[in-house]
Amino acid sequence: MKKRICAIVLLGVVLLSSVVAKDTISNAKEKEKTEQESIKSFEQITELDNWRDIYACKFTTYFGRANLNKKSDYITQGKGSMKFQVYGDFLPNGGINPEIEIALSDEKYTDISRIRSISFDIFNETGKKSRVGVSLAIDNMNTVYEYFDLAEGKNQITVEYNAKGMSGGYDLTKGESLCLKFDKAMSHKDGKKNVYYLDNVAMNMSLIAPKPYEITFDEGELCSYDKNYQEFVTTVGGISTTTDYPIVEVNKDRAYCMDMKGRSLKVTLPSASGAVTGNTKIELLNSIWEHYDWTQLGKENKELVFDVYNDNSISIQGTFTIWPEHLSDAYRWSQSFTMAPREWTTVRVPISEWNKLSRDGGEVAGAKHEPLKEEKEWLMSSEQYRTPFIVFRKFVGEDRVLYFDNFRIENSVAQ
Amino acid sequence: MRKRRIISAVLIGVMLLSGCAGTKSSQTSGDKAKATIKFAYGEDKILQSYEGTSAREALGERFVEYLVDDFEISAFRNEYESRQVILTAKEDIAAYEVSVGDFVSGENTLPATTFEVCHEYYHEISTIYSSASSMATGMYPDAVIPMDTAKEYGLNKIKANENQAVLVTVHIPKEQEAGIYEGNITIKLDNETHVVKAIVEVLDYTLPDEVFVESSTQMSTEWLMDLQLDDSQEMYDKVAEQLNSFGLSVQFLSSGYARTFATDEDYEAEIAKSVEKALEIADNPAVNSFGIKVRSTSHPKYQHQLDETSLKKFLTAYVDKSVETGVDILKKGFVYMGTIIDEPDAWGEIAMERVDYVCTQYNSVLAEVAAYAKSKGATQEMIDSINNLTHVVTTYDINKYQYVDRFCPEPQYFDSLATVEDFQALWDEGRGFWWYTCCNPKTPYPTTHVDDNGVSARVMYWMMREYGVEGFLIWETLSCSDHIPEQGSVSQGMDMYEDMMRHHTDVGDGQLFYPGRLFELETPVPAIRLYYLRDGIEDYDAITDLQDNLLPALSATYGADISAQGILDELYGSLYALNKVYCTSVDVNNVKNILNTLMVWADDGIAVSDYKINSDGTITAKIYAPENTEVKIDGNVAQGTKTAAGNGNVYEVSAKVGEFDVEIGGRSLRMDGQKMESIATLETDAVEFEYETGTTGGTAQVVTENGKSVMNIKTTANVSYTYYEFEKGAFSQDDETLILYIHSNNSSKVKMSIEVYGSRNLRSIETVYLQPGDNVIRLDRTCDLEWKKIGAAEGIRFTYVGEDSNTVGVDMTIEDIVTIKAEESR
Repeated sequence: MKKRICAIVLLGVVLLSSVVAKDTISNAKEKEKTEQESIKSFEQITELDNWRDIYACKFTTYFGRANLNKKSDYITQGKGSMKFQVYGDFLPNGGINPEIEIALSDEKYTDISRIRSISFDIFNETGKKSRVGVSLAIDNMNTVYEYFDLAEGKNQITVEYNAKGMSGGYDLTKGESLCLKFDKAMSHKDGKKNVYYLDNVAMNMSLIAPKPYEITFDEGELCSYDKNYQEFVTTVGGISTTTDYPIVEVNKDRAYCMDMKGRSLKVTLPSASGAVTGNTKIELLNSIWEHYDWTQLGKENKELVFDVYNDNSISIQGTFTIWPEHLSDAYRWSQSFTMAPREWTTVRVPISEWNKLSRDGGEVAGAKHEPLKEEKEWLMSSEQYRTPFIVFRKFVGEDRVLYFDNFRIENSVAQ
Repeated sequence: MRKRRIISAVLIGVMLLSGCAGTKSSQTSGDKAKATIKFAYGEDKILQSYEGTSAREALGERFVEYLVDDFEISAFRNEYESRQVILTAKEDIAAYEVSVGDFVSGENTLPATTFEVCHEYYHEISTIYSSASSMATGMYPDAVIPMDTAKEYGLNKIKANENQAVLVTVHIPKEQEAGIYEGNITIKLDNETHVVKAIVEVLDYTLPDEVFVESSTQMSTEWLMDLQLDDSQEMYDKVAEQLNSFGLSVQFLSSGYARTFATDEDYEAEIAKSVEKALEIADNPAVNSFGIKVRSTSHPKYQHQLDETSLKKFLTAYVDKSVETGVDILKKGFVYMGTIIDEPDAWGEIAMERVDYVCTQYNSVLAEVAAYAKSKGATQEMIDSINNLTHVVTTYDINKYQYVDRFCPEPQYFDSLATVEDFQALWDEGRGFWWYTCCNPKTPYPTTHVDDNGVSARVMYWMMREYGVEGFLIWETLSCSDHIPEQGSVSQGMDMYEDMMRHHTDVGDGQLFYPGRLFELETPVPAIRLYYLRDGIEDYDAITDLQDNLLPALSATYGADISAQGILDELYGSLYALNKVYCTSVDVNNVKNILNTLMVWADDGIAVSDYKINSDGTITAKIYAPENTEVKIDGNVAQGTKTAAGNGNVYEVSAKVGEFDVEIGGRSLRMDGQKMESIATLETDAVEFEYETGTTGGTAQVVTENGKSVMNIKTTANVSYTYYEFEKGAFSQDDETLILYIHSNNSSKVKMSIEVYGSRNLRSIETVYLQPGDNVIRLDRTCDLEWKKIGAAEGIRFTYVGEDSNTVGVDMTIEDIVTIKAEESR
């Protein structure tokens, strides 16, 4: 993939060179470093000027159609842009939302530790307002999708990223792709009208990577959300879902923190209309789980404990789930818990049970299976790891809000 | 290992072309031309270069033999046929171009628009996966890009000393007058222009529109976006139509995926779409089959089972539409339950036990749906279509599964003539068989792999026709999968052209398309292998038309039981040994020319029947022809006798092997240049028995039958082997065919293996069923046996298998054993 460094970057480098040459005092170096962190450089992620660029994009199945556009009206950089029609598979309920993945590099990974933002121009020619979800794929994980409303016509989208914060949860040397998610068309006719043009897809970088947050754990702490880096360690997703993912943000209102202390994680679960399929989930990133030897904790009869406040008028059920990646997708271990309305609930999950996987008799990942219980050694080995997550069923009505706090390790209550 | 060509110059089908004026001239060709210009058959893979390795150089020598100076094509009306222009650059060529003009025959024109000219794109093959392959690593042609596109994208360059193949394909219009058409092929090499005269013979026979051989060509929507940047149903339809143009039918007509977890509403929508698409192709002769989607549910013992409810929903929807429209939609339907039972023999006991259970489920659904159809007033034809709705299972084990409807093994499982008979016995039970290929098998078995020569895919259909294989399943035509983990799971764009090794175990698998929109082509770029498959399908269809339509009609006309089986056996034997392809494009062309003659004759009311090679060294045949047809036998006008029905004549032909020559209407059928020799031994001490302790072995006795001395062999029960010695070296790698004339006195068939033993080793030739009575066991392409390992042949070992030989022994009379070889090889 070609990369183009804009002229502004070169100018910035020249100016900096002269500053560095004259300043030898250590605090000046710090100042210089901060300045370097603040000076931006732009790199085109893709030119979208020829068919090879278009073919370098990956599309989900039942996406629709992608084209190379040469009409200048829809070109904001270079000689071309990508025109695409978002179809989906027209099934009333099934199917995932169409998505484009634009690789950040020809190689498998690219270093995005200097990232400040991603920007792109998108023309919405659907004849109506729409929206796009934006996420970065990093080391086989996705950042939380941020959604942007798209007015008719040209839209310039910029998605800010906090590299310092993200470095606590992600290995930013392993940036993979930019993911753009769209709503699917609900009929074949609509699909043809769902026209967009994409161009000028760029990454905005600082000249040097910011110093990462120091990742520290208090005794027994997994994630209290009280530390700065913990703002960036929760991600969201869906399982065979067709609608939005949860929205997560660190809450600083102590009224919604356990014992009125510190901070907590606010989770807004989106409602879904009609007969929807699939579930949504939240999960802590690998970097958090990897801090502990979970096999050992299981042997010591420890429990994973967390507090959750249900800020709704009805009870809500969640399921703590472990789904080992190396095994068939059908195998998992789970523990459901109920959150009473307007109350804090403390959930205790016995770690020693995590190996006792079962296979449902129902449908999992597109295939049906007979029920099966089996103990399998998989726990937290580096090849076999998949982060535990908390699943929520889809629902209709108003969005629901939960506050999670104090993911921690404690001795078993039974002890 | 191929030893030598076998019937080139032996059977000559077409005489017309040789009588034409010179076929090549060039305005500027000669030593100073920038490239040499030659021609090759469509099926030969001409590598970009034969330099660099000894294996490549050896391969180059072989292919150079097949290059010719003349461009000549013979084709039926409605048939596609290809030849290649081979340009070998003497210096770098910045831009070449090949174009074809109108061809003319008297007042008739075969327009230039009937020709397609394509640049063959070269892909690097760095590993030849079959140890039995005689191919070499190098740059292989596969993607076939229109000449204009190649020019537009600057692909039309040739480096000095490299080859560039250009595929020229003609599709003869159905209304085209038969005749010899002459035209020009223009070749531009930078500023040079060469004009080459070319000939197309339009044969006076029209290939039917109907494709007779069924197919299940898997085309997964999941790859369509990667391949063509468009996974809409419209694009899916375009690719399906492209497959149809190559004689193949797509597995599913709807691009939708019948997800297990789809809601009922989604599923209903998918069913409705599938039914509409099936209705659309009901009258389309180019689409002879379509798959019906199935879903699975869980089962406590078998893990997966057929979701009967969903299949019923699908089938009743087809029935409803059939009743509503009066069109028997399910007539072309089949079910491939690959998501429930796929290659069961590879997946353990539960998978194997699941097969008959699921098939039973399937049959019960059919019974219910047939009853439903009856209640809805469906016609008997529609009800029959439901009851006869086949399901295909990718397994070879016909003894293991009681309820499988269409077995679908890979070709290597047809490992003996006895096995072929076992499969054919399924017909008596209303069952049958297909074939499929993917990463396996590999050469010398028929394949669609890039690193195999093109004759393999074409000849596969000759095998299929001979053995009665009704359909062909291919996985997966659109596959962009990348099995090299570091590269991700998908290959896209130019990677599809440049990374041919991504499948890891083979080259090409069933993938038959390349990204087209990379070159702004609205449909994917086809692989040249599709052209080979189409040629094979057309051959299959022509033979089917001959045997199932034309000859039965002539049988009625002449009041005779006309059969082309004998002459067709001659053709089959020229192409392959059972299920292994050793022939060359020259062999294929010779055989096709004979088929051309048979088809043109049959269309004119002329039939070659009862062709057989007799143990006395003669070939006999009957020629049926209308009144006033001049039939020449061995150059002389023959006198026929009235046929049984009185409206036509029958001519008896009896000629020595190597001297068979029949000419009618300017076309001739010859089998010359061959010699037959008897290698039978009439000495009792030439026979030895090997048997278990306690048995007496057997007896060998020379007896006289019908004035001829023959060898009678009787074994006692439980004798395993009989050794039959002949003169050392009497049977050798010079021999193309071995024929055993054996009379079995047993009351039931005996399974018998035939092996040749030599100074070095023992090698199997074939396993057959010895039927009660007379047997003519014809074993072709014996020149391709592993002669280096056999050494000088000393005799044949017969091995008996089965109950009859164990209980009562074998009683057989060897009436003769003969070899046939090309005379010039002596």
